[in-house]
Amino acid sequence: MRTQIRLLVALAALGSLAGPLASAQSPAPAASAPKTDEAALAAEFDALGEAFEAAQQEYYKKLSALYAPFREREPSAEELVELERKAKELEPLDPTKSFAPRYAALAAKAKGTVVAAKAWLRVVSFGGGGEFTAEGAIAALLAEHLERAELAELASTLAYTQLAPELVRSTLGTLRAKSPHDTVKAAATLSLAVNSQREDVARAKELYRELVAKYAALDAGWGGTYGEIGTRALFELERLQVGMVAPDFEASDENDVKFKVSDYRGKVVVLDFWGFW
Amino acid sequence: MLPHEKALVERLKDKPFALIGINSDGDAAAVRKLLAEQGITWRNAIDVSTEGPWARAWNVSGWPTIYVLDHKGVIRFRDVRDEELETAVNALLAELEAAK
Repeated sequence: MRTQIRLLVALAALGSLAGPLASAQSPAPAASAPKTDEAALAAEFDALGEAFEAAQQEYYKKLSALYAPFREREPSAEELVELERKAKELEPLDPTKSFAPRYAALAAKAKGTVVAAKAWLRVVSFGGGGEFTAEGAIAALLAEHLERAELAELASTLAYTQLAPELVRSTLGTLRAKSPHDTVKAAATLSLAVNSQREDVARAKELYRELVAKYAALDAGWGGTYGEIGTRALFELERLQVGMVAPDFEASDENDVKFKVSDYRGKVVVLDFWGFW
Repeated sequence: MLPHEKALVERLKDKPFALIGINSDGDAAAVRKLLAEQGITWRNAIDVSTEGPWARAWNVSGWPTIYVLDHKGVIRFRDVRDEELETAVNALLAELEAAK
């Protein structure tokens, strides 16, 4: 339960970031629309972002109030059922569904411009809504915006998604093969590796190695460079699987006493990475 | 997690068993305070933050992440919680007893 609440708080924090991130200005590409129109469209995109953010804050505030009594204690089975029922009641307030059509309308109006690309990206991140699907938004992005650096966001979004695995693989494959930007290709390679990890570890390793070989110094924006991310993922796949001797590690405890994992040979050991933050 | 872990540690206090936390909440002083407040008796590695050296080295990206090692240091289970964790530890202790 504590984990779920934490996740919610983390999501709320992300939500408050989504607005400013999404409205970050990027260099205007060569587009057919005259500059003034594009500035107006960009302003419209930003205004929509602000409205979305306000609606999302409102939604999270209500959800947060719902979970507040259980920050300090675990809910009972009955309380848990009640919590889920109330959370479901709040779902219509979730702005992602109602805003997807608004972003789709803006994308249609801004067709061919970077604003359209950014609006479709929002529809993908919402998982679609109304008559507009994430699949449709992805199709529009690949057909009309494949040359844009903004598609790195599409590549990253597809690391963890509910979309059909076949669509995810083909989309990431297209980005890897056809994007002119290393930032997009590297993000697509990482997402494809993450997606492969469950079913095809050999393929995942190959992709992480490619990441280390080709994009070592490129900043992933989160978790360091692609070289670091790839190296760490390879370490986990090659050294930290069930059946492998745990790699030794030296650490210092709460009394500043140093110890190693190998000090505990002869004992059954549970290593628990945890925190309250 | 915590109530289960406390019960586990108490039940196995005379067995060849150790629970080691790798904590991401802050420095040693902060963690000492936290352990006292929570009544946590087992050893905790001070990893300082979620980007601490141990979490980084072991590619930890979700918390809690759990590894269960047998008496030879072999990773035998990952991400088992509560009852499952209990069962895993019991099985490995039985294995260790049988190997004697």
